[in-house]
Amino acid sequence: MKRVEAQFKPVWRPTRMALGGLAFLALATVVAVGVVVWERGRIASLQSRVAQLTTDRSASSTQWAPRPAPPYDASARQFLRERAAGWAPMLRTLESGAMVGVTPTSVDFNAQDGVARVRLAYVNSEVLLDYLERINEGVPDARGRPRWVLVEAHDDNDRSPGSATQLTEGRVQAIATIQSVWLAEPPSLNR
Amino acid sequence: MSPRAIRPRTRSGASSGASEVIEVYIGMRSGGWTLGGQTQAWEAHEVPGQGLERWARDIGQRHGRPWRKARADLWLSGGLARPFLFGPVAGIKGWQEAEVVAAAAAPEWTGLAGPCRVHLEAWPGEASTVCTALDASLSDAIESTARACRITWRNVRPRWAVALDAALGKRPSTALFAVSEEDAFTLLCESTSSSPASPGMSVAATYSPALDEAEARALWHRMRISFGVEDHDAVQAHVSTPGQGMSMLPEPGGSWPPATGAMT
Repeated sequence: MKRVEAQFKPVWRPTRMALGGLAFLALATVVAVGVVVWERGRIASLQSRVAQLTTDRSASSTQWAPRPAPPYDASARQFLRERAAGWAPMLRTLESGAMVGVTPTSVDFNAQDGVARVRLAYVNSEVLLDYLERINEGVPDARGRPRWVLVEAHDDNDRSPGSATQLTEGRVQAIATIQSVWLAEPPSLNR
Repeated sequence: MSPRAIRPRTRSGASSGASEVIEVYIGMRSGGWTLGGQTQAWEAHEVPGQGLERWARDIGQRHGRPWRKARADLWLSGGLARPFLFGPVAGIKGWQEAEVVAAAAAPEWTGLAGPCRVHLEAWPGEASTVCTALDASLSDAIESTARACRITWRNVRPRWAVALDAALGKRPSTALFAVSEEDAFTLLCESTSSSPASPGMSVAATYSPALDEAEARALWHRMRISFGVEDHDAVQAHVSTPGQGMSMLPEPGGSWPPATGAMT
């Protein structure tokens, strides 16, 4: 004979309280998951923002490697230096200081170093000094000193062949060399 | 045939060794409940649902906790939960349909009045099977009472089924089994000559009200002879009640008849 089960135990059905509890738990779970997801999103957003700011900061402090000089750099700098050289004021001083007894015979202006060398034929030293004083009037150099300086001069007694003393229009004139610097600040090539 | 002692059930989950097990027994005319094997209440009632509600409320108040329901076993007398053989019924397509058909047939086969709830032990499509019927109103009362009184029923079974468990535990070859209760006499018989092709129960019936001793003895002998049951495969049990002078509520053990001597 086999066992007879005959079990009439009521099938468990959830009560209203159990259903309410389950619903509450489900709602709480959904809310908790939502909060967690929202917080994670917020944290991710903040992290990305921090990363962006860090990237920006590091980018702003980047030391760029010096650019190699272009092949025309030297020529360009030479050109700009010549353009920036004080041709005009140098010539204006010579023109404005013209006087009898002193005759510029040659002007040698080196735009590279801004040095202007002028050979003068003069009759005597007094005229030469007057001339220097006139051409230095109002054009001091950067440190307030006279711009034109006398480099060399030869007096009338020197008659040796090949000396600077020359004979001009029947008069013996001495030869002197004056020099000034007209170097202006060259424009920058850096961008 | 000598009377055989049946020990308390071991498979129902309510062993006699458990001290805090609550058991409720309900019959057609009386019932009560025990705690750890000690009778706490035993009263007569007119309607089984009435007594059930009273005992359930009592149990709930004494043993229920706000955070935990009281747990109890509910044993039904043979007069309330009656077995019958159902089937075979051809054309049944599912368990639900089988239960509907069995429930419809239950009042005619068992004598229960009104709609019934049934429990089928096996699929009734190919062979007959034991079906236990319970009044639907009582089934509803069991469920609603548990809900209202904060009780969880661990088992809701016929007492005779529990006694059969104990008998099978003691003697697995049991082929004839009878349980006498205050309100019913339940008989289960398996033919020893039945072919392997048609195994199963040959008789499953409840006689309610209970048969008197002479009728029971006559029925017992007829069953033994008709189905060829050996003496050692026939087990009898008597479910005693405190009202009849026994110390315990449903007690499957002991000889039957307990006071008047063994049947021969």
